[in-house]
Amino acid sequence: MTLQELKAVQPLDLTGALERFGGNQALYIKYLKRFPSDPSLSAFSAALKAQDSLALQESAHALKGICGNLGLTELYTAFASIVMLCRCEDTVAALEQGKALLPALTRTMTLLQDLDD
Amino acid sequence: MISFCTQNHMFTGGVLMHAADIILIVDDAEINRTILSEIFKGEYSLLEAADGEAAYKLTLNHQHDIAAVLLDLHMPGWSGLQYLSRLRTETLLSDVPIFIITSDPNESTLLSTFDYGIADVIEKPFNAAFLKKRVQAQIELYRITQGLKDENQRKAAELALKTAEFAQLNLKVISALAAAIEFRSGETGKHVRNIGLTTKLILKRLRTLGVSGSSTLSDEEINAISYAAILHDVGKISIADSILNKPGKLTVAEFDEMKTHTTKGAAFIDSIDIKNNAILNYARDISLHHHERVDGRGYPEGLKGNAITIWSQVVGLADAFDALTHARCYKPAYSREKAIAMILDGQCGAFAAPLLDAFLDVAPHLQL
Repeated sequence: MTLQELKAVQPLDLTGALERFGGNQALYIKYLKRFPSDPSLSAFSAALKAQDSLALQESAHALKGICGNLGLTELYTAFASIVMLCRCEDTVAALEQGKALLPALTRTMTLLQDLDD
Repeated sequence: MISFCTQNHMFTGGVLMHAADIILIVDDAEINRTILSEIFKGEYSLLEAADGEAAYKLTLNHQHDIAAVLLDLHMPGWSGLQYLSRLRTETLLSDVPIFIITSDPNESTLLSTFDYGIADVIEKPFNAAFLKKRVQAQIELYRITQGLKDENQRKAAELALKTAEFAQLNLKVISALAAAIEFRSGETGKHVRNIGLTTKLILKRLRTLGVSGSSTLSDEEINAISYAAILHDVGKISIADSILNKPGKLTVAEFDEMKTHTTKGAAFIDSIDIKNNAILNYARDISLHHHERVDGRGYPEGLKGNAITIWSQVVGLADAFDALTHARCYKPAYSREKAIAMILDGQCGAFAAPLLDAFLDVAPHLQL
């Protein structure tokens, strides 16, 4: 799958992300493909299971920054919303949003693994 | 003087200096560090740290080569704020721009970072081109500011040196002038030095005793008065040799002429035409009034009591003591004890009681 094909099926700020990587497309793809193995993702899943609001906030915050930089706009917005709910101490809503995000997250991970080098 | 910066060097006042060229990137997410490195690679050397503590260690090792710090706030271990706090406590990187690169929307947290003197906050996701321009502009600004600071410090040091040289020259000219007067009247430069030292000792004693007019004098003012004291007889430059060096007693007319050395001395100092010099201001007063006496029987104005400044009274006494203890063309040298007795006896005119008390305290230590 090429970046253009990914953009067709996944909300992606391709222009902004490539600018951040200095136009280095290979480097951008390298980090997109590396994202599914980022430790913040497993921390996020573990926090959801344990219903640990502090760990949820910290992992969502880290993922928000990473998704923002990678141009994964849909995930960026979702993680930003979870961080905000955690800050407002609305743990129930934050956990609900987190769980609701899991399918989209899984789908994105699958797509990223299919990217051509 | 010109100061400007190139990428890695700074030109200040004709000296080409090495400029810091490292950007320190502090973020726990490798991808974020990589993105920032990509933006600046090739133009700056780059150092990366995954938390505040690692950044602190790199800072200690490279503090003179770091041109900017790009700092995340939320990191495991030391946070960005902990790192900043440590920098400020230890006065590290105080002249280096630090940028907070964050996705934290908490405005109060971000505002608090400005208390640590950070240069700017850049929110993730950022526009790479804007980020690069903002960071580069701040690095240049900090470099220029530092260049100006260095230049100002250099100029201040130069000015201080020249001021000290000028003050030294002033004192040497004053001393040389005073010595010339002494040599002309057949005395040695020793009298000049003695008057200065005696004046200083008596004034310090008066200050310790809390005597009116002396209790508020600073060490600097007492030093200025001591230097001014050596010019007390500068008016003698206008007195004819036949009177100045007459071996016997002066006639009334000759003594009247001799008395004019006070007013002529003041006029001479006025002719220098420098109004705000402390030494000259004291010297004018001392030159004019060192023969005034507290009972009003001195000259030239017949001033009484506190109408005579304490420094002129002190120099009057110091001059009398030195004249008594040294041979003159009209008298032999008297012993310390005899000179003290003559002064207390009023043979050199009346002096204020507190001044005589201070004089008696220091008299055993005065040089002859």
